[in-house]
Amino acid sequence: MASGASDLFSGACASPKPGGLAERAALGAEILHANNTALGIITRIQEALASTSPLAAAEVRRLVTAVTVQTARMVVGLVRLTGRRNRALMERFEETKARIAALTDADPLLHPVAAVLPLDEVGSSLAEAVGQKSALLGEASLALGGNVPPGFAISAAAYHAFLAHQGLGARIAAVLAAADLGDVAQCFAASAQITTLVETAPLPPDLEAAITAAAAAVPGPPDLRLAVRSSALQEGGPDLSFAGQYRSFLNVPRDQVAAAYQRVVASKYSPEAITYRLVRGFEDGEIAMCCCVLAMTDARAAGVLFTSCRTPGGPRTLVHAVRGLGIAAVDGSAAPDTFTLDPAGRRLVGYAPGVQTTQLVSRSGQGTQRVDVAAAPGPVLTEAQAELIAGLGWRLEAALGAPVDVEWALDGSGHVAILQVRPQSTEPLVAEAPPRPRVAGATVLLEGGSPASRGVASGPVVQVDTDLDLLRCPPGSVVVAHEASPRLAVLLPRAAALVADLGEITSHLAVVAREARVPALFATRRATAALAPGAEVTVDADGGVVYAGRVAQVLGGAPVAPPTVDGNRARLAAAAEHIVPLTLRHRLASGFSAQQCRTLHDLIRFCHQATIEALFDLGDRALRGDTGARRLRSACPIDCRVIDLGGGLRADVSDAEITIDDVVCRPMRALWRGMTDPRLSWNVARPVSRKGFMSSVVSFGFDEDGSVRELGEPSFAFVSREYLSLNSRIGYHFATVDARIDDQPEASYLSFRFVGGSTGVEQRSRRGTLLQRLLGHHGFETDRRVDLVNARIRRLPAAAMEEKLHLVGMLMEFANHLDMALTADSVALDYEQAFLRGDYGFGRGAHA
Amino acid sequence: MTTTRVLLVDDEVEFLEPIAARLARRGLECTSVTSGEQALAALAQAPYDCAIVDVRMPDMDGLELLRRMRRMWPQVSVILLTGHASIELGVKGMELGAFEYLLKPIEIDDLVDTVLRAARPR
Repeated sequence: MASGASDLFSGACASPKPGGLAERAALGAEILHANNTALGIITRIQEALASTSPLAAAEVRRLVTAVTVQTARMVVGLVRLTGRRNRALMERFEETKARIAALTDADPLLHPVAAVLPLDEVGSSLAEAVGQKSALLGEASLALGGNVPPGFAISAAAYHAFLAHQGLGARIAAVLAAADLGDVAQCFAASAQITTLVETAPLPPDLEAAITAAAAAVPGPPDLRLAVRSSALQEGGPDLSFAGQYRSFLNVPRDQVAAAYQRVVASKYSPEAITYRLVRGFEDGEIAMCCCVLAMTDARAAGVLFTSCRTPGGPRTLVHAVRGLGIAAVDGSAAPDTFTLDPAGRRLVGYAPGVQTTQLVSRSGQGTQRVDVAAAPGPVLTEAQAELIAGLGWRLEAALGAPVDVEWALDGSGHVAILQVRPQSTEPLVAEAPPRPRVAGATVLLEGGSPASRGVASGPVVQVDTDLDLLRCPPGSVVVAHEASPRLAVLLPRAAALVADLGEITSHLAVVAREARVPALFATRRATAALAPGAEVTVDADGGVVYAGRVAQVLGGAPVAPPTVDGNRARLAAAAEHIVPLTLRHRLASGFSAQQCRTLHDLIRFCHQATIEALFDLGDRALRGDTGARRLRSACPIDCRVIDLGGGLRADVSDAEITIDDVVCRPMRALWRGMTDPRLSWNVARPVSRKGFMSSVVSFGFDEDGSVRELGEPSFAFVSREYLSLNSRIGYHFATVDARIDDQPEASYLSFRFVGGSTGVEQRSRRGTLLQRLLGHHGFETDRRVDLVNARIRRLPAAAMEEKLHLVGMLMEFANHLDMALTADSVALDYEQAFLRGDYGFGRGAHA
Repeated sequence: MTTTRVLLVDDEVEFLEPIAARLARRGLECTSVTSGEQALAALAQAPYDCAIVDVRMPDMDGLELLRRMRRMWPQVSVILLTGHASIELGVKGMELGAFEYLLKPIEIDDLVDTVLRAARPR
């Protein structure tokens, strides 16, 4: 969807400045609300970046979308509030938004998609609806025409309908919730149970009919066979490959496609797929299993190609080829022939023969079978065929604008079919750095092979052949196997390293090992013979060596725990550069200008400041006798302006200055009683007198978001009869109170946020903890980040809610004076106990 | 106090029913409809304080419904609620005058807070 700066005024925000002061005031309150929400999301983004726990792609998109939309809410609100079209502001917002959206946004879909769609009607804009595999094949079909076999996509909508039918989804969720999926045995048990559930559940009749009709409509003879392949949402992204985690079914008759679809959906719950989602932090519900159904190619040879691999000689295109169907090239059961091509010269520059003793072929009935390959049959492809296949890859790379990896098949007539396209992993596939030198004196057990995933590790050898071996494999093992089977992926969370006789750096297991940062050495030819079970070994995947014992010289050079910056976190970090930094702070002296905004944080800061100024304007009108913001006269040091949203003040109030007696708003009155509670007339140590704070020569302080901000700015209370939204600052402290007292307890709530201060982070944190404990003691739900405390309480009868507001008022006053006093945890504890006792004199100055 | 009247618009009935039930338990008066056309018909028949509108719907999508509502019933606040986070659609919603843009899954307490803010006198 195109969206330019002019769109900002295409809708309701183009309506003239709202006439009523109350309406403008409500708008101001909403902008300040959006400000608080946006700053809260920025904090969550910073936390997510600092954390090492798994971060789901969906969570990245939620965070980034939420903060961008809240900023839009502020920008749009400000334009409406002031009635001025600030072109620079709009342009800065649109530019920043576009940069962020380019990093994280998927193409928006406004309408649900059908359960079944012909492949030639599918493009990358439907990736969210049909999965990336189908979407990119649709694009390939557009770019290459006849090289993509005819077929259709089964969408996420179909998947959701299947799971909603007769409670299947709920039953799956129940099994997952009951199992400890990190435990291999429990994971296998849950997998078996769910697989049976899915394969035996009935499909919704209309879905089954739609699939069968689509299968019947694929061009070709009546006995045409089809391939039914997984195309899960989130699968096949640039760094989340889900490579080989799900099943495909080949050589399926037209009338069996619906049944095969069910089995593909069931493969979402294979042990390795469950583990992969667990490791990568995906929720089960985040991934919908879509399918791609293609007319079968009777492959004489097949394989994968990578259009751009970095090698010491420059970028190269690699074509891996096996005889028969292509699965052998990626499931690690054969070492494929490798053809190396120079993408600049468009010609073959190298060939390395593989090892293939069996090949997979379509059976005349249904399914596939393995047959022996004759000894020494020569290269799988001719030079011309290798160049033809690579040429299709280059055309796809040009069409999609990025290096791609492609699964292809060659039939008996020499026609090439493209079966899958996806963006190529960003990881360099061929090591650039020279291998580290051999360690003198260490015993070399194994040499050679391909570094499928870089790194070094040591541990005891565990040979894995069967599923039972998978279950028995202890954490920290060096896993040794004959084939580099995708099944081994279930061990990635616990394996120290993987070593295999066969397999290639382009295999599925290699891709997921790189993602999991587990060192892997494949195609060693003789690992299972050379590495004895139980022996301690050190694997140097980069150098292609396995040493006996723990070799400190090798391990010492590597970080103990390699940083796991996964793709989702990297994407969030890239977006955060346009969101989090605050660059306006140094420019206060010359005044804020929208032109200077570089990030969302800048825009948020700018809109906040401009909103405050606009609300001041409302206050000026009040001073001139208009209704609007009125100054609340009080002994309290807070410079509070009250803005009536309707029914919050006595009807006969006409002055620009009011007292609390003129306020009808129930939450405001209760809060104010707390803030001015006479029992709080104590005198603890504080840096400046209260009066001093307000009239101090210190005219600048650090704002809660780190920017410099003038002191003496007023607090704003937006009031109606039942509702209060207070944005207050006293000294260096910022508090927001959002509350509603209703005769119906269900509609009553109170949320309180407190942050800031002029002391060091330690004392402010101590104050945060103290506030959190006191609020928790009084029944509030709380959370805290350093000195920022959030507290909420809901659904109380009116009288009880008034008591809570009274308490919050007292705490606001109390907290304003605490920072300097809280020099030690024990002092904080004394204050806490005194407050809980109702001793608001706090030992009569004992800590003063 | 007068009851807050909420119009819930979502084509997914399995989402609509539980949300409506939970909002009703919190004292809100809820009417559920499953399409934009039904929403416009409901608005023509009875007053509402606020509408919770799914973005992705067949035929008339949530943004189109929002556009029409802002023209015909500007006093009714519109809260967009979606399971598919999208910067483009969210920002578009704000430009068209949506009160809020919320992402599923959402805690019912947060949704109620938003409804009460959206519905308060202005």
